[in-house]
Amino acid sequence: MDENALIQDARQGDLDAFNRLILAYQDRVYNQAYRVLGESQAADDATQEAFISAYKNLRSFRGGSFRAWLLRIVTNACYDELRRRKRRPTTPLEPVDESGDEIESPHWIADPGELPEDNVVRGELGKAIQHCLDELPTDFRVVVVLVDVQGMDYLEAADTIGKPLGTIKSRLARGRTRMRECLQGFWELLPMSMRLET
Amino acid sequence: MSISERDFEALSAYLDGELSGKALARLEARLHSNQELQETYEQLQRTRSVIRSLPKIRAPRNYMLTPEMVGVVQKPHRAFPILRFASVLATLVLILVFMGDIFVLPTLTSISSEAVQFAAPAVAEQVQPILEAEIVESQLPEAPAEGEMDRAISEEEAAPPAAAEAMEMLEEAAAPVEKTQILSTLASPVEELADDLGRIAEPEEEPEEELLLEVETRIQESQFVPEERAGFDIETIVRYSEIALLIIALSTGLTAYYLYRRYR
Repeated sequence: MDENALIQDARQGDLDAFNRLILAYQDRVYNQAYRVLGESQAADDATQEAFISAYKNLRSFRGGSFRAWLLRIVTNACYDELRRRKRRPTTPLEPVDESGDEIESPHWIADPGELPEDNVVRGELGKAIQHCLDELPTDFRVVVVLVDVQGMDYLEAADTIGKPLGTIKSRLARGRTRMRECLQGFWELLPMSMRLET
Repeated sequence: MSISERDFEALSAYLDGELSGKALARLEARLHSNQELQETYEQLQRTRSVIRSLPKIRAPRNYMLTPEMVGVVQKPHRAFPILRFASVLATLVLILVFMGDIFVLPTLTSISSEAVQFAAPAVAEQVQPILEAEIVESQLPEAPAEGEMDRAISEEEAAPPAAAEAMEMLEEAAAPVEKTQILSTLASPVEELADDLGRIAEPEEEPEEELLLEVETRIQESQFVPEERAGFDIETIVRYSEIALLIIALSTGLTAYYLYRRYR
């Protein structure tokens, strides 16, 4: 796939060319949205919105890393969604029993399939990490996800969020420190090699 | 000794290989001498490993866009409407020409050939005596009977122009219907004249072979030349028009279809 040629074609209105770019990047973009928002439905909306916005603003892409440009758009979409949530907070639908008490593990949450123990632990660990990510301030979370989940270097992360390199270093260090403190509460889920000592 | 935020920042950057120069040398020296700093570094390292162990989630669906989603009505190529119109127009004209070819042209051709077939011999029959009379008269100087002389002289004056006109009619037998009618109207006085002259020439009736040959040749020429010319012109023009229109209709139509698919 010649990315530059596809971008040029898409700029001239070739939607098929842009759709090929979408197929190449949709997993990364969805991952970014999911890790920042912590919810699949919201991540789905943000991803779709980001691709629409990217297509409409493709002329503003001035070369460089197309991945960084796309992740910047989806990160902005995530910020918009988080601001929207702040303005209009929603009440989660908690399942209750007949007496009105909350059910911690309703039957429709349970996975009917028999999962191996490792998968269960991995699933639980994933939830714990996502929980700790959700606890981070948004600015820290975005940088941690860009560098530690997406695997970007500092320069690319700075390009993505449009901040100086020093800001990236600072936010990443503070984000990791808070993650370390949060994950200590889930030490039993961690593999032996990863267990944190206090 | 507690770890400051600046130390965390340096450790995090060191972990990612983003530290260089004096800052790198200073931190490495401190890591060797400071146990607490060393432990904090290891904890950060494990934290990063834990975060990186997060599974990559696949997108739950394809996010491919449709023209409706991006609100873009794609404009067709600007040549598309012109080519489409040209194709439709050429097709319609082709149909008309083709129908004319099937229904009208054979009728015209048959009328033309029938008219030539029927008119030419009739005219020839009428003209032949006139031509013969012309020549006979020029070769027979004897005076006719006195009673018929006046009439003969008066009609003799009219005969040469009538004969010449009849010859012209023969040569232009391409549109034979009207011309045949004209000739037939002309034929009656000519016929009378021919009869009179025949009667006058009767005593000295000696047909000359050269004269007859000349008359037949001229009649034959008058029969065939116009027919061939008329048939060639109409049919050829129609055939060439059909081929040209077919090529135009196909080429413009296919190009328009290509542009439609390309810019849809």
